[in-house]
Amino acid sequence: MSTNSQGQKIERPLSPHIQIYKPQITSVMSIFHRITGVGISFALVFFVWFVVSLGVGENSYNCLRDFFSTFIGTPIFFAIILGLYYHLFNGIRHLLWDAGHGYKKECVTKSGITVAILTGIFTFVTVFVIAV
Amino acid sequence: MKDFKTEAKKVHGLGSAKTGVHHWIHQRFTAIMNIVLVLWLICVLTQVADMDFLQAKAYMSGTWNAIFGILFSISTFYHAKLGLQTVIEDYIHCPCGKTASLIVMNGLVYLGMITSIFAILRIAI
Repeated sequence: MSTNSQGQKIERPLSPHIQIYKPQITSVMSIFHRITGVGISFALVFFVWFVVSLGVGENSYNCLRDFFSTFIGTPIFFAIILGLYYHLFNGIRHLLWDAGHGYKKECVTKSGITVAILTGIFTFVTVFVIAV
Repeated sequence: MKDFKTEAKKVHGLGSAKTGVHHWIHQRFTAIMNIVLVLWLICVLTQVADMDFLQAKAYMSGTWNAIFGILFSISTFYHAKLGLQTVIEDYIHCPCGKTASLIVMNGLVYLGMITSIFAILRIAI
């Protein structure tokens, strides 16, 4: 909050101003790392459900399977797989940065594209193996 | 007598406290473990996809799957806790809301972790 020349309080835009930034591979991949991280954290509920259902009984287990075979559940399942792979590959990218590698501009772009391609391939293959 | 030394001056030259970066270090350590554990989980999912209840139960009760399942529960839930903590600290600005969300998040993550470990032990032992 600041004041203008008339002494009135006005709200000036704050920097960094996300709405006027051109999306770049670095920023977009960074925010998707967070989004997928939060997403797969919530998806851990299904892991708990899965292991608990094995102890509870057949009904609980089938209930989980039925949920993932509905038209809402199936896309959720594959979104989780996608999120897992994205976070996995981009996480390896982050670990390499932490180890001091790949900071050149071209390198960051290349590793980003590599992550996207690997995520696509691995998700496709996994979905194919599970569905067939 | 009034102490005129600043906090920074007092600790200067004493070396690292060895604890300040534990969040960062734990996040990386669990991340490396999670590479293996997530690949294990995806292998499990592809196998379990074709199994009925009894087959899946027998499969998950196997020694190695149970061990990896428990390891998965510890490492991924803890990693999720560290990550969600960062997200909450970054995006929730009101101190009350921030503390409340951190408490709730902590509770839920550890509830999930302990529940899944208990469930795996229950079928495996």
